[in-house]
Amino acid sequence: MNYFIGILMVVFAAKGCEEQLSYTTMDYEASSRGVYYHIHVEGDQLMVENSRDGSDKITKKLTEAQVNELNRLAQAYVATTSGDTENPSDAADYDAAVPVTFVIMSDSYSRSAKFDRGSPPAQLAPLVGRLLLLAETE
Amino acid sequence: MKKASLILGVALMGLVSCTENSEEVNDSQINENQEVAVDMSDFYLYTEDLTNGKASAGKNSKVCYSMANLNRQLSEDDNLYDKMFGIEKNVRKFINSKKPDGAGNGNGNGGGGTGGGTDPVDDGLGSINIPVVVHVIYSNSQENISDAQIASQIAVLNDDFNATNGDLSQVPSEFAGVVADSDINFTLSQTIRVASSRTSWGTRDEMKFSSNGGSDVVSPSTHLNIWVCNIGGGILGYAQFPGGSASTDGVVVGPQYFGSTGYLAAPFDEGRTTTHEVGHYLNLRHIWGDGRCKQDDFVADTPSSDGPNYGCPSYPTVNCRSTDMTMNYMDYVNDACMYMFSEGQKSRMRALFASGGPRSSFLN
Repeated sequence: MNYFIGILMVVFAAKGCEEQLSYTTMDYEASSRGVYYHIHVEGDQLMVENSRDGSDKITKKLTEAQVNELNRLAQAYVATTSGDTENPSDAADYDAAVPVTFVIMSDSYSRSAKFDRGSPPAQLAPLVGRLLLLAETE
Repeated sequence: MKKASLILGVALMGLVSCTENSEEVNDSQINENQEVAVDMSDFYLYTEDLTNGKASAGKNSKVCYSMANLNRQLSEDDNLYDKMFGIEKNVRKFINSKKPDGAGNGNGNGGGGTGGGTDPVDDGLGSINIPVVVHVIYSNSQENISDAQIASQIAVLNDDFNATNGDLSQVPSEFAGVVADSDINFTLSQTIRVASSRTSWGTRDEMKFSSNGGSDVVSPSTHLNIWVCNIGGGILGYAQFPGGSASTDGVVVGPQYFGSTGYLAAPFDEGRTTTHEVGHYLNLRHIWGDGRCKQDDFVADTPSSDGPNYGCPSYPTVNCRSTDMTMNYMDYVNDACMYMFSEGQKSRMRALFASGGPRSSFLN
């Protein structure tokens, strides 16, 4: 009986930890004059739109493996980044770059990062790269 | 036995519990992250306290972003920061010298209010004529835009910088009092055509050098250089603020966004991308100041906003407790929905041509 209780405790703890670390939403928005690209992930639902009016919105259901991979990359990013990140570049001020805003949220953490399209911070690059790939492939 | 099983359970729970909280980071990760952050800050961040002239580097560059721009160039040219500081100081000095006693400095609206008006002032510079060199760098026949398309762009510039554009009447009465005739004229001086196998040029100025297969700048101290080529990445055009390298001075515009007739792509098919970029070339910032409500474009009569407007916004569009001047050429709306510069912007642009200014040689 006590073995059973011990195993239950392990399972509950593991489940709680997983939920705490799992992302709730991710949002990637690249926006400039003539450019709009928006990816929104909520759980296993991924939405992509190329127009501000949402007329070309596409939604996809991610597989469990894809969600797990996003979670792994998200946790690596969160673990190596202590807070929100401002864009180190001002190229968008003279239109030479498309600014991106990335936001990730979970029950226990949130991070935002601003950067020029194509130049995410090193810690965020694997997650953004994977997200873009998921958004761009069927 | 009972104790053993409980101990085992607790121990296992400890192994998988949330001690590795997502907010926690091991020491090596912290150090690595801090090194990256510091490196990035050292490389890019420049702030400027205009009240005492001190320059500093730090995290608040966006808050005090006034002189922080062209970071790539700043990293490549140690003197650029000082040059741009000097330009900003001279612009403000010149504008102040032309104002009646007791008038404000006109450098900004401090992030609130409607911005009010800016009385037109006679700066004594007269009509300003800007000869234009157009470099057409093309990889196909469409990109090799026609002389007529180039002429249409010159005409749009002349209309927009002299308030003779046909859509000016659409300016709402709230802003009609600050519409500016900047009295800046453009004449086509030369067209240079370069064939290239390269299909996109990016934003690192590579099109500005024949050594890269592009076309070298021509007399930048007395001519506006415009490179027309496919930039790529969705970029319509980009500019260089005054004070940058002479070898890259000018603006770059994609062929589909240049002029108002020919090879064009709606809704950026009325030549206003070039008007916008030439605005940057003449020291104008984006109408929203590239930040939130309290970040300014250094122009008093353009109301604060917290970001760009897109498409064709309805009037009034209110942000930061004031109506956005969405129809200003320095916003991000469609070509058909931008049709004015303000008097404050005019003063700022023309101040560059005053004695000692970075574009004074255009008048000599």
